[in-house]
Parts: sequence; C-alpha cells; structure tokens
Amino acid sequence: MIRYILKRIVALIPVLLGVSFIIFSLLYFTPGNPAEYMLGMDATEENIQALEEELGLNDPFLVRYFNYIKDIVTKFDFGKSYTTKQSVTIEIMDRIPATLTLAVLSVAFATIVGVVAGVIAAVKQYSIFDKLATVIALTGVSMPNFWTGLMLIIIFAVNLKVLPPSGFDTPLHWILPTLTVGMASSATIMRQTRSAMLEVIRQDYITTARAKGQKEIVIVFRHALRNALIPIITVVGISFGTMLGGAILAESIFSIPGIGKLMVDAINVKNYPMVQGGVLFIAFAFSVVNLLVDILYAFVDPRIKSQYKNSRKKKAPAALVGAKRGDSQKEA
Amino acid sequence: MGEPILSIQDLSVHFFKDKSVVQAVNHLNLQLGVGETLGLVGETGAGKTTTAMSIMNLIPNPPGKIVGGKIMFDGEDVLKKSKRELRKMRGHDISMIFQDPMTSLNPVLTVGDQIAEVIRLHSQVSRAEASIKAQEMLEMVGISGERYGDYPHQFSGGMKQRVVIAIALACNPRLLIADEPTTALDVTIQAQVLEMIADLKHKLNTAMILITHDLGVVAQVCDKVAIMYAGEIVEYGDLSDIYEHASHPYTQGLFGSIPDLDKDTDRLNPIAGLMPDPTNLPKGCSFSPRCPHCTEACKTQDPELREISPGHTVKCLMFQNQEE
Amino acid sequence: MGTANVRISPSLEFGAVKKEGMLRQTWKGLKKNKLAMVGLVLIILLIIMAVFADVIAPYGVDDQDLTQKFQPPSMEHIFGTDDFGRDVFSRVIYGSRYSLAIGACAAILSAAVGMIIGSVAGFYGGKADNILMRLIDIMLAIPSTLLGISIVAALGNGIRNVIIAVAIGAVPAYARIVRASILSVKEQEYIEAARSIGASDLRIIMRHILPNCLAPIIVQITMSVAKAILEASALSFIGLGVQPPSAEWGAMLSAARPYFRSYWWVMTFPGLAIMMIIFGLNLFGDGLRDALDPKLKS
Repeated sequence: MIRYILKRIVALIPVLLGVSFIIFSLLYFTPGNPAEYMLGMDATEENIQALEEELGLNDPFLVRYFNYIKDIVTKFDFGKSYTTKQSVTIEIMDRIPATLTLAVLSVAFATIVGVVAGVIAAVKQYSIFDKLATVIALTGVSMPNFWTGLMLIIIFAVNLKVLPPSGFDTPLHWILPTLTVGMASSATIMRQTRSAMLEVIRQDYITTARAKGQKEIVIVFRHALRNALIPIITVVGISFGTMLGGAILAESIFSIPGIGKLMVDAINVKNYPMVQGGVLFIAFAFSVVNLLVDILYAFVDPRIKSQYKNSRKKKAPAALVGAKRGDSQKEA
Repeated sequence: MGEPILSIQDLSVHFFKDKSVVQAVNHLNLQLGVGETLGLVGETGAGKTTTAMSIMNLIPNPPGKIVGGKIMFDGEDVLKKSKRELRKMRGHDISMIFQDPMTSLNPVLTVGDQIAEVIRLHSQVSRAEASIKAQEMLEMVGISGERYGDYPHQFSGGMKQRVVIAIALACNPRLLIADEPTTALDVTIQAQVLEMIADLKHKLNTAMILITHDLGVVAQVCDKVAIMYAGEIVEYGDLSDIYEHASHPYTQGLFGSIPDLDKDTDRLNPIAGLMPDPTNLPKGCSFSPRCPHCTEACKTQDPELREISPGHTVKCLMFQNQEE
Repeated sequence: MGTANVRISPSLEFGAVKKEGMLRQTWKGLKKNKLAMVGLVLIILLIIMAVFADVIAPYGVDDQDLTQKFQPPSMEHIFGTDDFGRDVFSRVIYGSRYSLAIGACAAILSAAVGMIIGSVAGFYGGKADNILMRLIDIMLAIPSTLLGISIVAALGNGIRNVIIAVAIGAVPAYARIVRASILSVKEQEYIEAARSIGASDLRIIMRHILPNCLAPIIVQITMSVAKAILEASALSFIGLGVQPPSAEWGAMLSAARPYFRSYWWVMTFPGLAIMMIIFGLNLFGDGLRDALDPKLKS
C-alpha cells in the first residue's frame, strides 16, 4: 500500500513538470514586455533594458524554463511578482488560508447535500422528491456559478438584507461564497449518487440483506451506500477541480483574498510569475486531491485494496481507477 | 405428511410492466410439513423464484404484486404481517439461499460480518458473541474460522456459496428456501454443496424447499416433488409418485428429455415448443399448445388438480375426465 | 474467395439498413422522453433566435438612448435597459449568436482533436499511447476554468481565442472515450476480418471502429456544447473573452457588474438566457444518452 502511494507520488512529478512547461511556454509566447509593464509608461529605454537583464528576460526560452524549475526545486522560489516585487511563494502562501477555507466549506456543503439528496431520490425513485430533486439538480448544473453568486447577492444581501454581500470576516460572510461554489457541484454529486445507488439497490446482495430481516435504513446506508461510494468519491474528486475553478470567480465576486483573486488580478496586469505560480499551485493541489481519492478507494473497496497491494507486478489498479474516473468524467 | 409448517393457498403474483401484465404465478397451492424437503421443479421462467420470494414477502413492488392468496407459515399469513413482523421472520424463521453466490454477498463487508449481522439481528447477543457464533458457522460449512475477516472476492464460487449457506442457517430457521443453490457452481462442487445442505438440514431439522430444474438433484435430496409450469403446479407427489408414476404429460416430457442410463436410447425426446408468453397465457390448459395428448377440450377448459393416488395430484384433463 | 465477395455486399447493405434503424430507434426513444423534448425545443429556440435575431429583436443591438438609461422592465423594454439605454432583450437575442457559434465551434474542434488523439493512442498503443495519455493527464491536472483562463491570457482576447481555449479543455474527455472504445473493439473478430482482407488502418478506424463509439461521442458533444458556453461566459465575465460592448452574454454580465446591486435586470436576464440553453442541452443530452444506450437506462 505504502509502495503504491510512493509510486503515485513519483508519478506526480512528470505531470507537474508538464503542467509547468505548458504554462511557462504559454505565457512566454504571450505578446507584451513585462519589463515595460513593471516600469510603467515613463520608463526609459535603458531602465527597461536593465530590468530585462535583471529578470533574465533576454535568456533563451529553455534556459529561462530551466532556471525557473531550478529555483522552485532548490529554493522553493516561484520568482518575483512583477507588480509588488514580492516573492510569489510568499504571496501565494498568504492567500492559501482563504482559498482553503472556501474550498473545504464548498466541498463539504456539496458532498453532504449531494449525497443525502441523491440517496433519498434513489430510494424513493419516481416519487415527488425524486422528480423535484432531479429537476433542481439539472437547474443547478445549468447555472454559471459566477452568475449564481451575483443572484444570491441580489436576493440575500441587497433585497432581504440578511447576509453580507462580500468580505470574509464572520462565518456569515462565508455562506454566499460557499453556496456559489458548491451549488453546481452538489447537483453533479446528487446525480451521480442517485444513479450509483439505483444501480446498487438492484444487486442481489441487497436482497440478501433484506432476506436477513435487516431494516431498510441500515440496508441503504450499510449495504448500499458503501458500495455506491466509489463513483461518488470519484465525482467529488472531479468536483474539487471544478470548485477550484469556481473559487477563482467567486473570490473575485465576493472580494475574498484567495489565490483565485490573486490570479485574476495578476492576469489583468500581465504579472506572469504570479499566474504561473498560481496555476502550478492549483494543479498541485488538484493532483494531491486526486491521489487522496485513489487512496480513499482502497479504504472503501477491499477489492481495490488488494489490487494496490499486488501493484508491484501489474499496472492494473491505475488502469482500473483511471477507467473509473474516465467514466464519471462523462457524467460530470 | 406431518403438521404443515407452510401452506400456500391460491397464490397469484403478477408483474406490471409497460401496460402488460406478466402472470408469473397463478392460483398456486402448496403444502410442506415440518422437516420435509420439497423439490420445486420447472423450466426457467416457470415462476419458481417468484414463489420463493413470495414466501419471504420480498417481491419487489413495483413492478411485482401479490394479487391474491394466502401464505400460511406456522399458522400465520405472511402476507398480512407488518413490516416489523416480517423482519423478525426473515432470516430467523425462514431463510433463503440464492442462486448466484458471486453476487449475493456484499463485496465491501467481510464474510464474518455478514454472518454476524443476521445473528445480531435475531438474537440478543453482544458483538463479540455474534462474531464467535459466526466463526462457528464458518467452521460448520467447512471454512476455517480464521477467514472471518476476509472479503468475498478472496473466496472461490463454491466457498462463497458455503458462506451464503452459513448466513441462511445461522439462526436455525424452520424453513430454508434454496433457489438453485448449485446452478452457478462447477459440477464437482455442486455435489459437495448439495450434500452439505442436506446434511445440515437434517441436523437442524429444517424444512426445505429446493428450487431446481435438475431432476437428478431432486432424487438425491427431496421427499416431495412439485412440478411447476407457467406459474402453476401441474403435478405433486412423493419421490416415487413422480419418478415411477409420472402422470402429467409435462412431467413425462421432462423425464423424456434427460438421458436414462438404464435404457439404451439413441436420442432424447425434448418437449416441443416453448413456455407460453406469461403476458398472454393460453385459455385452457397452459400446457395444451405443447402437449402431445392435447384435445379440443384442453384448449378451452382449465383443468383442476386431482388426486390420482393418496398424496399424488395432477392437473390434467385426462385424469379429471377419468374420474367422471 | 468468390463466395466471400458475394457475401460482402449484402452485409454492407445490411449495415446501412441497421444504421438507419438505429437513428430511427433513437428518435423513437427520444420522442417518448418528455424532458428531452423540452430540451430539444429550447435548443431549437436558441437556433431560431440566433438566425432571426434581426427580425425578433425590437431594437438594434447597439442602439443607445441615454435618456432611457436603466429603465426597469416594462412593455417597451421587457427586460429593461442598461447603462447606455440599450434594450436588454434585444441584446440577449443577439447574444445567442455568440453562444451558438462558441458552443458549436468549440465542441466540433475539441471532438475532432480528441478523436484523433484517442484513435491514435488506442489503435497504435505502445509509445504513442503512452505519450498522448500522459499529455492528457497533464491537461486533466489543471482545472478546466483555469486552463481556459491561462490560454486566453496568453493568446489574447477575442472570440476565436475563446473558442480555442474552451475547446482545448474539452479534448481529454473525447480522447479518453474514443481510446477506451477502441481498446474494447480492437481485438474483436470483425476487425481482424477487415484487416485480413487488406483494409488500411485509417479505413478500419473510420469505418469499423469509430461508428461503434458513436453513441458516447454524440452524447459528449451535446454536453460539451453546454460546457463550452458556460466556460466562455465565465471567461468573458472576468474580462478575458469577448469584450463589451459586444452582446455576448458573459460580456453583458461583466459590463453589468458595477451596477447590478441597483439594477437587477441588467444582470438577471443574460444569466437566465445562459441557464435556459444549458438546461436545454443537458436535458437533451441526458435523453439522448438514454435513447442511444438502453443499458444505461434504469
């Protein structure tokens, strides 16, 4: 098991290198001279040239990329922000708590609402609740989440005046951002939970449990839900990525000083080191979450666990888990 | 027959699908004495499993519905029991072994927990006591108690079926329903499992309904035999009645379609035709379209069950008319 | 060999008949599904809106009337007016053109690229498969909104770049579907048979393999049109995609942002328009999946 996890961590390295390379080259070929941006309109030609030299902007592409990676690996240094001249690493670290809070709250909200609603809808298939939940979920995935956020502000902050429209000081401030980021994902999770539960409920072992004289509620949670968890966990993992994306917009709508807001601001002023750092950081966070999801599989399903244990010889589990993720990607 | 423990009277079960009605079981009558073993024999789709699920009152609704009849178990109508009473009965008084051991165990729970679950549901024991009892059950079906913490995927098909049997017998049920318990297993394992069921049943003095389409298995284990066709019992009797005096044309057809070692026949005589469409059963005798002795009367008149010798009943006009 | 030739042509004809049968069957299944029909109606409505925008819209898309600034919804302006006194209803109608163009182009582009990658990876396996799938892994490691933002940031604003950015994010899903389908049919006997009579790789992929994974691809296309429209609107909203004063729905929302607390209608209606079309596409996509693949249906 530990061997498997280590292997997966090693496999993360080329992926993150790939991400960094893509982002680095994307921004490298972007028109515009960062030195001019940094110095403003009234900079002299000499000043610009001096700064270009200082930032290493004149080096060939591969040299610049190599130096960038070298600094990250050796000094955990993502470069300097063009605007504030501060270390990108420090600025990102400063912003982590806000983004992390929003992400955790949203995931928790989306998972609880999605799983509970999905289970009820599946158990009471064709009931009013099921139909209502299905339509609400479809509406939920159809709304652009930034727009949902703005509508929530209009309703709850401007008209009803029950919740603050922006900021992050009190727990009340977090309600609207959490809803904004989590709503669409809760709908996705609900749909996945419902279909997974419907599949499981028809299995023979559920009949076995009924034939034992077990209570319906225990059958649903102990026998059925545990078997439906694999696709549910998968979709929660994928939703985490969506929510990170959603958080970028939500942070700027609700003026929450997170990584998303940092990046949007940085893009608007062509502050590339900041954008690179932000993308890399988020890709890293997302990859770690995916790894956690794969590890979680083993705790939920003993069959996958024993495959991980045997993974020394075969690549089977990665393929299996990958296939599963691909499947629900379609769903999502 | 001794005191009947189970008595099914006039049971009808229908499934409602897309406006059509599948008449899975029609006016079925059946009795079973304490400790007796009944073989319920018929082709796929004859309604055997539906009958079994009805006894547990486990017909999935929708789409299925028990539309009429009584199922008296131990003097009480199973169909009139409350949910709570049903839960008390299932797994404790009546338990079931399912057809496919590959799918009837929960893949994410240890086999030990799955056995202990039924024990804890029906007797007031602590978690620890239940797991000790579960280990004993494992030993009883020939699996080492050390494998309590293993998961179903770590067992072979035959071993899984043993676990299912352990679950079914854990609370000493008075009636065991075994729904084709060996169909999904290798031939070599089939005999072992069957022998074990018969053995344990004897030890615990459990009545049993063995559902199968294998007449050889029936001869090996059963006291009584009921032949089922299109949701009805067409012939019922003890082993010798059925094996030596098979009277219904369908039963005769069944025997004609298996090879007999004693006789030197060149070819088998399978029954011509297929089971009738359960959404559209023939008007008279449901076997009439395939029956070699079919008369005009058979196509219009549904025969009644007649006792042709003590304890041996047949549902065929040939015998009904003989008497008259 | 002679007999083999004789046999080939009827079987081809049979294939054609079967294909038409599949289409008709799918349509039959769809017609029964009321929600899917609602979705189809919404999609057709969008297309009509886009094509006949000039006829439907009561005002021109850029007609300003500064005396009519921020009028709430009324008989004259059913969705009200914006900060330049432009009719929001008319702009929403014209906006459907952008959404339709972005959604359709992005879906086709991503489907084409994804199918090529998936076909090559699945069919040739080995090194090609390894390299392409690692590339897909890398793309999947970046949340798609973020990927879109980075690409538009690099390429610059404008509708063409938005389409490219959104399309790239949708490529992995296609590649994976096609690769998985190919892997499952590759070893089937009819592929062996086709190869044994000397069919080229391209022919085998186009004629024998892709038709077999058509169902999931069609469903994925419906879904990715929806996703493309959503993501494009998000890009425009943060000022990276289509720029105001264009009447793209996301850009309209972006332009409305400074005033939305006082004038709700400027923000509400473009968003509702996005919601309706995504809703329609999702309903239709769900219905299509059920109709195309009865196995998935409950």
